[in-house]
Amino acid sequence: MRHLRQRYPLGLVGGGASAYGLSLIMATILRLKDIGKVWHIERTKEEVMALGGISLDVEQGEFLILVGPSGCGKSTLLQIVAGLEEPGSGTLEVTRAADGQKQTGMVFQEFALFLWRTVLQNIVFGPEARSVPKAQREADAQKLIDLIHLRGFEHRYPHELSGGMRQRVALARALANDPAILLFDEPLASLDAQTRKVLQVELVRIWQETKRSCFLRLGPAGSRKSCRSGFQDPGASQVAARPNCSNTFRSESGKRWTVH
Amino acid sequence: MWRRYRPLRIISPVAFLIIWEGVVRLDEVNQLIIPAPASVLRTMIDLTIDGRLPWAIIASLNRVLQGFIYGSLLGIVLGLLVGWFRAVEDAVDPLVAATYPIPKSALFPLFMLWFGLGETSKVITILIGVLFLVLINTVTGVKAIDPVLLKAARDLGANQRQIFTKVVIPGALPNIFTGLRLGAGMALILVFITELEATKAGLGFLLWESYQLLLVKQVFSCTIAFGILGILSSWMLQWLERAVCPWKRV
Ligand SMILES: Nc1ncnc2c1ncn2[C@@H]1O[C@H](COP(=O)(O)OP(=O)(O)OP(=O)(O)O)[C@@H](O)[C@H]1O
Ligand SMILES: [Mg+2]
Repeated sequence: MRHLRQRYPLGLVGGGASAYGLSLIMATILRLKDIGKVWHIERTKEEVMALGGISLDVEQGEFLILVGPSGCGKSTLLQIVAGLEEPGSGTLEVTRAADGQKQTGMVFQEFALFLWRTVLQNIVFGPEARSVPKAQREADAQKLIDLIHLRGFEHRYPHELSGGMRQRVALARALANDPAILLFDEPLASLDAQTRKVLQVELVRIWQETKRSCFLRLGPAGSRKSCRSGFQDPGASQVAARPNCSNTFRSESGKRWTVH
Repeated sequence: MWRRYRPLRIISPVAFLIIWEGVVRLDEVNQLIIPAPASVLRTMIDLTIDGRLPWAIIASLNRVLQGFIYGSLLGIVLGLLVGWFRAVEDAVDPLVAATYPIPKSALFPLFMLWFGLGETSKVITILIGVLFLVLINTVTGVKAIDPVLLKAARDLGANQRQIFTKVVIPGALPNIFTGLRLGAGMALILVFITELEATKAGLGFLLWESYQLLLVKQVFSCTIAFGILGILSSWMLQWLERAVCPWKRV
């Protein structure tokens, strides 16, 4: 894990953290106020309320988990946080990085790999878009390939990989951009128990070593009974912080959860 | 790609030729209308040796290639723009919808009036035919790109230009190749039609002239030459597609 320590220097904070007048240690990196979202489906003239009244502060280095039944708006919320969908109502503040760079990195529920790019080329997409020199971005990608245990598969195309391998590539691709907030939409769903365990440990380690904010969305909440989580009807998402759910995900901040 | 050897793929056409040859030799059909394969082959060789077939092919290929290359390039560029930019779509779509259903061969007389009886009117007719097919398929390809890929690119920090070059273009490539394949077929149809008029060179001309002189073996030779051009063009496009889209199992 040494390379990770080098790649993600500790104490990274978005440049604007002090804008809230908060100390660096407890900097609020993300603030949701009363976020709501209604989807309009043109074809059927339907309106689907996906989210309503979500308020939440996320601090630097927090590990949050979002639980709720299928269709309750978890993916929608993550996409809003990522800036990929407009919130219908409410405000979203993400602390900006000093260089104005995007702070969030997302692992999509459907992986969203570029079919025409190999594993390596998928992983370097972000750095390539940011014009990181080729040699450097490929060297970084090699480390990530080791992290996700896909050595030997670098030059495979996504359709030549198993579902779990694709998921790991999606994970590495998000990590390659070194985002301050990692957003995982069901990050470990299609992995076998063993690989999932490995990646759980890795995720926690990445999080602990970098003090990055992780904003996870786990599978069906029922699968993690020990989790303190609330359930609500579809149409309202639950945000729960991480008490000691399991050994792998022990959280140091042991945090409150705010919702509603 | 490794393929299981399938003998029927060879046996079937060979059997077809043998039966054809046999039936003709037994004098079951009028050889003036349906010549035997062997005699057609002999005619083809004669036509090749005296240079008429090669020159006809060169003249036709020249028109086909010009029309195909310009038409495809225009079609790809326009198609990408129409598929990606709303404003371009709004501007171009009604024009395409209105002009696409016109048979391109019906435009040839007009083009002869406008561009003269020379090569230009022929090339432009082919160009237009190819353009539409490539354009429409390229637009389909752009629209078929999974929106989550565009989101992913955006999430990874790509700007609009990078999304266009790194996601939209490669994402549309498979459909672009569908358009190119259809366009190649269309180009061969159109070159034949344009060579019925105002020329003394080309495979279409040779075929038509042979028909008028009732030289049926020559008609067959030209038809076969057209077929070979069709097969070659589809092989070349397949090869190109494999080279350009290695992620696709063609
Ligand atoms: N692009 C869209 N257009 C219209 N409605 C949408 C769209 N995306 C999501 N929805 C609707 O919004 C609601 C929330 O969807 P979302 O994908 O956020 O659920 P989710 O919590 O991620 O569910 P799952 O656990 O099954 O992934 C659903 O009712 C869904 O039908
Ligand atoms: Mg979801």
